[in-house]
Amino acid sequence: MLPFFLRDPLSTDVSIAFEPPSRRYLFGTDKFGRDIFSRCVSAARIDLVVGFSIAIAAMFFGVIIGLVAGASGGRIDETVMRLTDLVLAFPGFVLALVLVAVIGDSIFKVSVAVTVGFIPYFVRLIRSEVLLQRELDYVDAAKLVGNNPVRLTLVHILPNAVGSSIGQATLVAGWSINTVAGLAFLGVGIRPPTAEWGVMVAEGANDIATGFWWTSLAPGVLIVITSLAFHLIGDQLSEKTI
Amino acid sequence: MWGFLLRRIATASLVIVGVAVVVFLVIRVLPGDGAALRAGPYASAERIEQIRNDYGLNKSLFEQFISYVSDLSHGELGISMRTGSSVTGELLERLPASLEVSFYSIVLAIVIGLPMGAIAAINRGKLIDQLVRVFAVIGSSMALFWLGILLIYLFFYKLGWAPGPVGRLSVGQAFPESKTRIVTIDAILSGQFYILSEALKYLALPVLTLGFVLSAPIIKITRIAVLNTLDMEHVRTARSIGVSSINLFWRDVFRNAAIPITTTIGIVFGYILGGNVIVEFLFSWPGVGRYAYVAIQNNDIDAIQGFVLLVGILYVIMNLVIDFVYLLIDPRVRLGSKQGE
Repeated sequence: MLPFFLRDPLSTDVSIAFEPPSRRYLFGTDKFGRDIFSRCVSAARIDLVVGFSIAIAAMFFGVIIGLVAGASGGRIDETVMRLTDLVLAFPGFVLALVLVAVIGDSIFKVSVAVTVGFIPYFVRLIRSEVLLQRELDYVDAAKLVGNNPVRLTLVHILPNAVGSSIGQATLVAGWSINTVAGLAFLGVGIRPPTAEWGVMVAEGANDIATGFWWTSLAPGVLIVITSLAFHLIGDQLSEKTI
Repeated sequence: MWGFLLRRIATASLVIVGVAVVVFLVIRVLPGDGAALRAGPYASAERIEQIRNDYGLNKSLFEQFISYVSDLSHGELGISMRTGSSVTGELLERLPASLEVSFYSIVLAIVIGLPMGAIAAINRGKLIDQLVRVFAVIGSSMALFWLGILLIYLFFYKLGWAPGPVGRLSVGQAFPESKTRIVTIDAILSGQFYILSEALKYLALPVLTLGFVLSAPIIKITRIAVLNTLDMEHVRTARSIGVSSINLFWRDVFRNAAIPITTTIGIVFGYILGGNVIVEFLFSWPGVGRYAYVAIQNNDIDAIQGFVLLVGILYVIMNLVIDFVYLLIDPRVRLGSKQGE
């Protein structure tokens, strides 16, 4: 079901190909006569959901791993930290690129591939936060009244340690939208004719040579604005909590 | 000091070993039939079986790992499915083109980033600070590929100031006598300055694209680092006893701010290694990033494997270089106190 103001993002009609932006076609149409406005709006469903999911998944796994590492210390901590070092030894975009090339294309798989690279950020953040909290008096007090280690970590330390990760997660949401769109632009992960901003920029890139600038303009602006929004919120959140 | 160096080199070698193991695991162990992937979607069962034999994919994982390690120790990253030649050779042939565009981009990012960050910090809260912050936040949210398209549209199609995205030199232009394979240096060495100016014109747009995006983190960290040092007590004291601003800035503020800035430049290196794939694809730049793009389009697994290994190793080496820079700028590291590490 489409909202009343949208056309089908996949329906083609060559008779209206390359219509410039007008009141009828807000952002114009592309070479198949698809309405770019409708495609941009439905692409938001993919891009926003993917951005949020990656941020939440990376935070979820990162918090668990970082919590275990920070709370148990010793050999487990050492192993976890060396493993995060190894993941961080690869630039995030390259890691995602290769993972998708090996595990295959789909929205889910590309999200998994991008998530892997972001998990270490949260592991490090939570671990250092847990180590900090463990030295504070309230933790000693909680120990004294008889909290067992698991309860101590989950009920007392975790709520105090998780704050800075929320700002980080917002930043990660912005970065992942950029990364997923970048992968789609290279033809990896999400593929045409899916309405996704990166795919649309890639499809429109060739039209520029022939003067049809509008086919890639709107999706590009949307990627940057969305990413900008996450960035500003993330920066504010991180400043507040640190 | 030497202890610090040796320890860093030892750690870096260990990380490189780890990188090699991770790449092996990612390429061979993750779900997906390696032979079928290599053969492509239209291959017959016999062809897949043949590839399985040729590439030793029917052996046990351990045996595969042994032959992988022994290949690596000879500097061999594999044989490309697409071209049938050595991946190491193909990558090394393309590396100078990537290094050239990366080097100029980093330089541009630093040349833009350092002064903008410092000026913003000195004028905290004023209009110029706000403008710099807007610039930085746009830079860090910018999609590299879209910026590249915009610049090509504006400077090539509309204004005609820059050449089209067709590579390092115009079609048909012979490369200068090759000593380093870095066109700008070769042109200077052979005295062909018209090639130098052409090479620079072709470099302009890719460098601008990467440099703008890379300058954002440098601006941000420079601004914060300078703000922090301006608040330090020794700087306040120096100011109050009348040390001139310029002296103060270089001697006291900038040296202290240099450490976090160096760290960020290290992170930027990692970004450029990924960004190169997009930029080289956009500008038909014949470097390793474009090689990786072509490899991925053709499911050329061994070429992809070689590219990731190269990127991982380069990144580790660059981080090692950053550690050496710490030595130069931070006396705490140089004199071997624990604090600096």
